[in-house]
Amino acid sequence: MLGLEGKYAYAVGRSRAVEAKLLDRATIDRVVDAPDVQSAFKILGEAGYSYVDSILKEESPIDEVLNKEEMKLFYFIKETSPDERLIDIFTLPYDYHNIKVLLKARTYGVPPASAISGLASLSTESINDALGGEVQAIPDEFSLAIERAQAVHSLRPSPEIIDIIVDKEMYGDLLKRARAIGIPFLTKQIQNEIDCLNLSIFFRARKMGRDAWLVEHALVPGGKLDSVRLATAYKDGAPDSLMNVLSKTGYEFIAKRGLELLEKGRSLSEIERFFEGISIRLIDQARQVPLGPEPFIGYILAKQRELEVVRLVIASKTAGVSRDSMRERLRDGYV
Amino acid sequence: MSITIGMILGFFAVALAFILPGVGSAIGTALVGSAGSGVVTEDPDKFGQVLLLQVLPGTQGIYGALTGFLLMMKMGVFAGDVIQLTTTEGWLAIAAATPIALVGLISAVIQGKVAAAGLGVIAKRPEELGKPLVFAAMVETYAVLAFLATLLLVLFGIDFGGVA
Repeated sequence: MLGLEGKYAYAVGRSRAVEAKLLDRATIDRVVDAPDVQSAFKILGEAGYSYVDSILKEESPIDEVLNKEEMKLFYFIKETSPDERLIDIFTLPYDYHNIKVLLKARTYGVPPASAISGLASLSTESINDALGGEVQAIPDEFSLAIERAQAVHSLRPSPEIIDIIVDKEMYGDLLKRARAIGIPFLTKQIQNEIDCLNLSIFFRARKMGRDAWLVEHALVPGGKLDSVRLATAYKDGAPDSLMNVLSKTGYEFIAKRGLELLEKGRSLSEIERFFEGISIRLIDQARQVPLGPEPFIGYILAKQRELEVVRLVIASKTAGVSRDSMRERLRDGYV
Repeated sequence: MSITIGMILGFFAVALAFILPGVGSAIGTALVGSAGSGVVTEDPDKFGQVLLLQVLPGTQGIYGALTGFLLMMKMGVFAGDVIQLTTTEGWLAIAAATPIALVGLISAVIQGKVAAAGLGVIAKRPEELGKPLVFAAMVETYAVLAFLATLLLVLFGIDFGGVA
């Protein structure tokens, strides 16, 4: 009788309780205003963030702290979610990241150690076994991604091809899993990410003068935008072709603005911020829903967004970026 | 004792009064209980406040049970001699039980949803407990009105000639 509302009731209750612990705008401002990185970590510690020994040693412990926080989030999902498949949606990007790193390391003979993520569900050994030919060491979708990346890489050997093809496989896998879980909000969120990725690929490739073959292989199907028509529009090169693909999708502004920025040779970060804005609005709307899976997933996405913001602020502080620049970057980017 | 169609209908009215609001209340309280468990997992001190909200969708089941007992009394069940109702009287019993049966079922489920949503307020601002309680209690109004209608119909609208 209650469907998803009943199924996710416990998860919603827990999410509502932990939501109150998300960093608010005032705390983020205090972190931005902190005189140094150590003080920034102290503020984060007061707000409930993990404390790691490397903070004391005055090293840059941001990855360690954020990995711990992300791991806590994964435990929360595992403990709380009534659908155990949901955790895969959030660990999957780390699995595919490690596949990219290890595949490039094996192909180009570079050490992968520092780039390996500790948040993946697949072990590096099993990925290495799969890369060595034991494809049954990892689930089919991952071995298929390796196979496809190797096949396209053999046509045009470049580390970039590995990244492009594995990313494409990852989004396909994410969308398939989200559809199988059957939560429309989750599918919509992933489709928004795919559209963002496709339009970023389109404009960046255009700016850098990349060939149509690469764009065709990089564009991910499954979003609101038709990737095949987008590839054709890229090949065609006429501004009207892009406008036609984007008409009635809600992204018309992006086409116009993106082409304007390209013409003026300006940064395309505005396009990414536009999609970031859509994503934040989706998260915000999800958190307003009283019951169902939306508030639970909305909390997870808001927490991930918070971790990104913390990473950005700490990295900017470490690099000596001014407070005003940080604030400008964060202006619309925090829920 | 011979059994009449009217008696079967009368018993069916009793069953309706017990079952439908009872099911609604079970669903409503289960929903608030599940969501409340989530809140209490993170903050056990909020148990009392959560319990207050969980109780609210349970009242429809009580109204239904009271209706059922009243009907049983009217039918002479407690006296040990069930009145042989006519078919019309049986239908009257069903008609009298219908307001609380239907409104009780639906309002309990909806009240459960409102109360579960109110847990968000308790999780973030426990001092504002009164507000989600009022929101959930507003739904109760319609269950009370339906119960009142049923009560008046049972007490004054039907007379089976038994103990009233």
